[in-house]
Amino acid sequence: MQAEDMWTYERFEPGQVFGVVEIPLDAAKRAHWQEIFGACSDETLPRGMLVAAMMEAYIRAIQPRPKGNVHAAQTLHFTGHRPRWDDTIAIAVSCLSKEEKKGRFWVDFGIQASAGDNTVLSGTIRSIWAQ
Amino acid sequence: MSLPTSLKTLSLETSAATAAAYAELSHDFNPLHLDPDFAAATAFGAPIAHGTMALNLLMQSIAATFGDQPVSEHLDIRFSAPVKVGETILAGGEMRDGAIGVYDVWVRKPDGVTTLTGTLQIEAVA
Repeated sequence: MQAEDMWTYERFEPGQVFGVVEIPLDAAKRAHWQEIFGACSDETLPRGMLVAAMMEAYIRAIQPRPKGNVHAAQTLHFTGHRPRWDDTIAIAVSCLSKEEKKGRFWVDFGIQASAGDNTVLSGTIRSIWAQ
Repeated sequence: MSLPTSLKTLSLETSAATAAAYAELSHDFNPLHLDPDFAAATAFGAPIAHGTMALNLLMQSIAATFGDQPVSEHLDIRFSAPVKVGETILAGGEMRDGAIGVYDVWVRKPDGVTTLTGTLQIEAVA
């Protein structure tokens, strides 16, 4: 890995788009979910599974990254559309803003998740980016 | 829509197994969550649970409370303290303003330490 490939705070720019990551909500995901939270009563996707998918997209879209980033806060809006197990969720990840404050490097990342033509989740992941 | 005054409180006992499953689920294989030797050399001293696993327990609490009702949810939360793998967490919330469907929500440890706090707004959808 080249050091210059690393996503450092300096490389982030508001408006930057990191791409769209497709997350299949397959049987393996369902098994891992149930291992933690128990059996799903029907085929409707638990809302929390969208959070896990969002985190996967955020991690996959911005690589390589330094160790030690901190998840500080999140603002999430779940729409009324309910995806189902076996759907594929397309999640767009972008940089909304960044700010250095008291020696910490804050970055707000935008998330927009869709199932087909339906937006299912949008929001912001607020991170303290490691140096 | 009739709104309850509190969310159903749910609990989760974290473990190395739940951390491993959540790493697979979220693709977050940070050794801070999974590797006791790595974590021992950090300020935490031991593996800590994924923050969004606590958020997901809160999502389960919301789902258990509102079931299949046609609602949308708006969450504004912050992570306030780490949870060591092996600790139990509880998630729930209390209504702050029924007129606009706003709840104060939280995830806590049994000793009362809050690990996640914020607000939830519930809106009916057509």
